[in-house]
Amino acid sequence: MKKKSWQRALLAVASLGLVLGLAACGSQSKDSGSTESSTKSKTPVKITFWHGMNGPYQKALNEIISDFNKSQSDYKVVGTSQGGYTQLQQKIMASAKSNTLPVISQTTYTTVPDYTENGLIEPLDNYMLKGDNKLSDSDLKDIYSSFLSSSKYDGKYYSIPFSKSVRVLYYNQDILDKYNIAKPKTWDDIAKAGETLKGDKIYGMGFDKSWDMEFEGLARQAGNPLVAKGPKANLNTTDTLKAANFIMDMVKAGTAKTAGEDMYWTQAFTQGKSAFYAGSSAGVTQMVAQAPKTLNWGTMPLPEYNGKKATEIAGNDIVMFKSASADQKKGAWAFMKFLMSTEETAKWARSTGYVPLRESATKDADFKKYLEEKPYNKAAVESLPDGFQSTAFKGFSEYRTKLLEAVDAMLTKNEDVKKALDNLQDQTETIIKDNK
Amino acid sequence: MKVKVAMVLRYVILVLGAIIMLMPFLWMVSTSLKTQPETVKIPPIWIPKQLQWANYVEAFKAAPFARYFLNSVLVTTITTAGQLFTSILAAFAFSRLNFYGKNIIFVIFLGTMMVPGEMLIIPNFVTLSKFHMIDTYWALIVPWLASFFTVFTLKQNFQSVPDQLYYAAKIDGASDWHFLWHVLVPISKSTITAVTVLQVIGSWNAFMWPLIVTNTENLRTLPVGLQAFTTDAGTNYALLMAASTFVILPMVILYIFLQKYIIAGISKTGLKG
Amino acid sequence: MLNEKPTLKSTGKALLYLLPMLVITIIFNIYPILKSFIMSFYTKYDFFKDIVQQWGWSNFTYIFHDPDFLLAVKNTLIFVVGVVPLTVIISLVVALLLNKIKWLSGLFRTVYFLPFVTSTVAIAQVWHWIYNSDYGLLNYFLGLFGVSPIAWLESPKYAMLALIIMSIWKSLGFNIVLFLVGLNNINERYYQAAEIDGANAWHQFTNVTVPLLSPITFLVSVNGVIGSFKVFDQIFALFNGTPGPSKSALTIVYYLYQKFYTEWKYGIAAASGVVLFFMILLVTLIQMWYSKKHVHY
Repeated sequence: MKKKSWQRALLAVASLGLVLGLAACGSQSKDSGSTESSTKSKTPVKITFWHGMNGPYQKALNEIISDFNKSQSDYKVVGTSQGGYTQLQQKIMASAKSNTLPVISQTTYTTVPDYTENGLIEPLDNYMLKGDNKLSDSDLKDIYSSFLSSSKYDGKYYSIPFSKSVRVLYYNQDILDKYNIAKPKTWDDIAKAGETLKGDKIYGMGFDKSWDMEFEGLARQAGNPLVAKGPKANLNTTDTLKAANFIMDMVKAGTAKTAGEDMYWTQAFTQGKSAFYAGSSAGVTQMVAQAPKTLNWGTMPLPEYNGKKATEIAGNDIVMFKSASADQKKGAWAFMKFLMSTEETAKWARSTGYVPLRESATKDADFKKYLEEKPYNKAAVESLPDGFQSTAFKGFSEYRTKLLEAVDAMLTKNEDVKKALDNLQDQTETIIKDNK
Repeated sequence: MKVKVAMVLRYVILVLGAIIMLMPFLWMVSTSLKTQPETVKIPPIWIPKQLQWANYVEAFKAAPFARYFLNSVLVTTITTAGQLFTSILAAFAFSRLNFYGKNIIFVIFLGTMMVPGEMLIIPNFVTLSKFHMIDTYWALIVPWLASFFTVFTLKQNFQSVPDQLYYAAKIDGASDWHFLWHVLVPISKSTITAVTVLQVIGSWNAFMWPLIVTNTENLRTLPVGLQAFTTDAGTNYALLMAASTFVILPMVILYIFLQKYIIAGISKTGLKG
Repeated sequence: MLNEKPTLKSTGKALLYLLPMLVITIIFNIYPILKSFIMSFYTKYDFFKDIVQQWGWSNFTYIFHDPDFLLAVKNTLIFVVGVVPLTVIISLVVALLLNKIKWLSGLFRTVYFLPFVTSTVAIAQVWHWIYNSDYGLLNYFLGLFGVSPIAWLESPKYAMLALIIMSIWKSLGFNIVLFLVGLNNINERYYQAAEIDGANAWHQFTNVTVPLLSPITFLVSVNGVIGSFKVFDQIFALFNGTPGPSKSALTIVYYLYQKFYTEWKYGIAAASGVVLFFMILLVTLIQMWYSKKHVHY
């Protein structure tokens, strides 16, 4: 009797072991197919591409990928969405650790310093500037310089720009008409408009949850970037303080408001809570979907400050991983170049609302027609020559966390601007020192 | 009279509680039937002017939900069954057998619950990739085949079954294996049903892990589909709520169906004192 | 059998019963946990290539001097103390009430269980609406009682409370089910016997229900403590990927997550995980020690 139960228990354990074993074998045989290196056979080289695009964006991207695959027979790009950017970052980390990285991936250019530090990504100079498939000089001139400069780190190109948006100014025409306010030429005009509207409980300006992007823009217009190349932290310089105070003075005076729990000011804007809104050009899609038909609104480039124009570019780049084979890298570059081509970037911009990457795309006939049909997207294109991107450096994501915390402290804890920025300066200097 | 007052009071409390419990769901369903401008309207609207049933169609088309659904069913079924099997065996050992190191093993198992899952993602990913299981169904199943919470719950329940029953079975010549599956498991039916429901739901809603260990759309599960409505520019609430509603619906039905087993009286199991 | 001394034979047999569980747990829990523990002593290392140049305690000294970590510990403790006792009491009361009614009981049971069924991602969006300071439901209801609007998600004073309320709401269903099972396993005879002895409802509750339910109460509270110490998902979803206004909902796991995934400070993240582990262990051991005295099987 005892024996029997022993046998049965053993059997159960053995069967479980068998299942696990089978699983390992089964998947192994499946795997060996895909890692097979490209011989001279006709099977195209597989280029895996991870991204964080969802819904309509994913559809648009898939079309471009399939165009590329049809355009030639040497390479086959396989794109997969990894959910959101958060999951994408985690996945890259996990795959880097287990040597299962894809060939290329979407990521923000600010992760480039950390990726190079860990030897994960391939510099693109050999493909981009040399060889038979390089970018021509006219290509390099055509692509907006702010994109190219943010693709460069430590003197080398590491990424190509991809899904990019800029900050633009949304305005509520109904409110402007009613109060006889002209479209603003400068940020001071916005502050003044705020004073006019204050009595009727309408804000002059609405910001997203954090105003860090507008802040960086104003600081640059005032005289310095928040962190200069080097890297050197400028977080409590006179110019930076001036910029932060300009925003916080409006907030404290009740002429500007942040979106807070709503994340984006979009919703409040559609309710007519503010005359202006400094938001992402990618938000146009959402604004169109949410705004009541009766609302008259429009977009324009952000106004001047201190006699200068500036708008921060946000969004993602694409990087190539070192672990891929030489053939895959060649193919990946071909695909990257394809994405940056005038025709494809114009198509991408048309179907997603992201900005085109090069000037010639804005002259493309289809693209012009698209802008006429969707005038809301014009402002972004007009802003591009004044676009800038923050300086990337090792430890950037930690710095960005601290920056957002500082802004949050000013807004939710009423922390003194000077005190918050002095503190941020110390933290950022420590981050820079630790990463030296 | 006193009894009646107590009964009324009970219902009053339960109804109030139920309203609090239900409110977010009513909001969810109501939002799922709105147009986009209506979702952000102030003051909020409870009943949309025109019910937008088309949201459900659109949401369903936004991602390969049919495939996701099949994957969820498959992964959830195997994970739960496997987990129950390993847990029942382990709970039996902890509750009915005496062995060297029992307490130590128990505490070590308990200790595994005390480490946040966020810390285990990367090492487990590496292990699975060594087993060549990344991007297969196995990656979604194998790591979850053991749940100490289930063991713990079953052990608590097995222990409450009187020892006399065990001795009686022994005298009748039943083996431990036989006793476990033919006496202990049937008696513990309601507990087992309860942990099954809890595990099924946990597995059904798993979101992060399926995304991390699969690269192919074909292997993904339902909650992953909820991502389709969030973009750089914001979220399409109406569609997100429509999708959330049909993602949780199977679990609600399952619960309604199984709850009578959870509540099934002990009298039916043949155990009286 | 239970009174028998362990022997080699009984140990072998028990190990066979434990084997499937052991294999999985060792590979997917114990091994990675040990690795993380070891990693908390890495001070100079290459995470991706697994090369360690230097070992030491500096990760621990770092976190204990990091005001963010100390804040995270404080917030986590507030969360645990705020959630666990209330969850246990409310779910026990609801389970008792559900157990006492016949009409509509199935419907009520389902309604109370609903929150547990939903995914955190989706339901957090709904709670956003409820907590909204301008037009949220909660402020609307409070307004009926003359309470002026509260910025639940934007004020450092209320953010933790908002998180606690949502967490209790979400976990009630789970615990109610466990309590219902527990109540269901109590033999009617005990109540009959108590009634014959002339015990009133309150005495029946304190002398029969509470002691006989103690294994489940123990289970629910241990599980609640462990789960609450590890809170993360709800925060990430409720505060849109931030640790709340002015870091008022920064918990230990949030800290760990930030260090690990956004700042790439693996050693420091691992060290905070180790500290969390020992905190939970300590509290659980206290609970177990207490249960040895008070839980009746």
